[in-house]
Amino acid sequence: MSVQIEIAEEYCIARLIGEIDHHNAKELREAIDNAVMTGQVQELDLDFREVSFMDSSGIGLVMGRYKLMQELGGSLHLVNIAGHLKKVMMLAGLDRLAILDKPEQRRRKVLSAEPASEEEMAETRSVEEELEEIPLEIGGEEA
Amino acid sequence: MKPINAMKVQFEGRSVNEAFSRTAVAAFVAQLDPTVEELADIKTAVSEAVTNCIVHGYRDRLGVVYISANLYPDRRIQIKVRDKGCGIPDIQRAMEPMYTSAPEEERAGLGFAVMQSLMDRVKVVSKEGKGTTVTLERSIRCKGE
Ligand SMILES: Nc1ncnc2c1ncn2[C@@H]1O[C@H](COP(=O)(O)OP(=O)(O)O)[C@@H](O)[C@H]1O
Ligand SMILES: [Mg+2]
Repeated sequence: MSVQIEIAEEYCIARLIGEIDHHNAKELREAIDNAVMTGQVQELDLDFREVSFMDSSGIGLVMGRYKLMQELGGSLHLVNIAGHLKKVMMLAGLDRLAILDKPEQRRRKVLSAEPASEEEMAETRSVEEELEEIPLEIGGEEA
Repeated sequence: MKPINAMKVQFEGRSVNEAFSRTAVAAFVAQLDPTVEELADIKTAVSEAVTNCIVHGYRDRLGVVYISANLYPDRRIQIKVRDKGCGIPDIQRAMEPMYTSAPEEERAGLGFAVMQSLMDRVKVVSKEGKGTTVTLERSIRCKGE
């Protein structure tokens, strides 16, 4: 089990890799909370794409980070939840917290530490543009 | 009904063995050719039961966790997870969703709820000071059924 953490301004994405159980939940929790506190993170995404197993220890991990982000006046989103993970999260009622499956286009692009090339800068701007467009799509006129 | 196959495994209640235990049971169940989903359900339920032995049963000591699994001709699997730890004073209360006696470690109190929703049957027998046995049952469907 491991976690890859990237921070850009007050946005943080933590990519969880492997199996989440009681044995490794503590280490994950410490790594994530450490990044959130030192980076003064306001928007935390937990990415479950590479998680192959999770039991209720994972629910504890999510609930704990949810509470932390609430205390900090920030937000938490869970991304790439599928199959078995979705089942466990649904039965824990995590869907009621409205933190599941943040739409792809809403995710902020994480800037790498190296200076971005001009191409990348252009791409970044277009993501920002997409963000601007989202409200127009809600209840939109598309058939 | 007599089982057509059976296995037993016992190990020290160290948290690193949580992964070992669910993988061992999954490997045994594999002979029924379960779906990915059925296997994930069983692994998750076993992980919950074993974690409870380690976290609650043997709170601050090291003890042995015992697992036995029986396969029956009707494609039913029965798994028993047992500890000789502190026991559960009030089983009904312990099984209530969100109840946990260890909130400080971010336990969600959902272990039994998870077991109950993923298995066909969950039975808990416990005696204070003697230990706890959790019996999990699940039918594995025939593929193409
Ligand atoms: N093997 C066990 N030995 C002693 N107590 C147990 C055992 N299993 C469960 N319990 C009790 O039942 C409660 C609920 O268990 P569970 O639903 O798995 O939630 P959690 O493990 O998150 O506390 C535990 O907090 C504990 O008090
Ligand atoms: Mg538990």
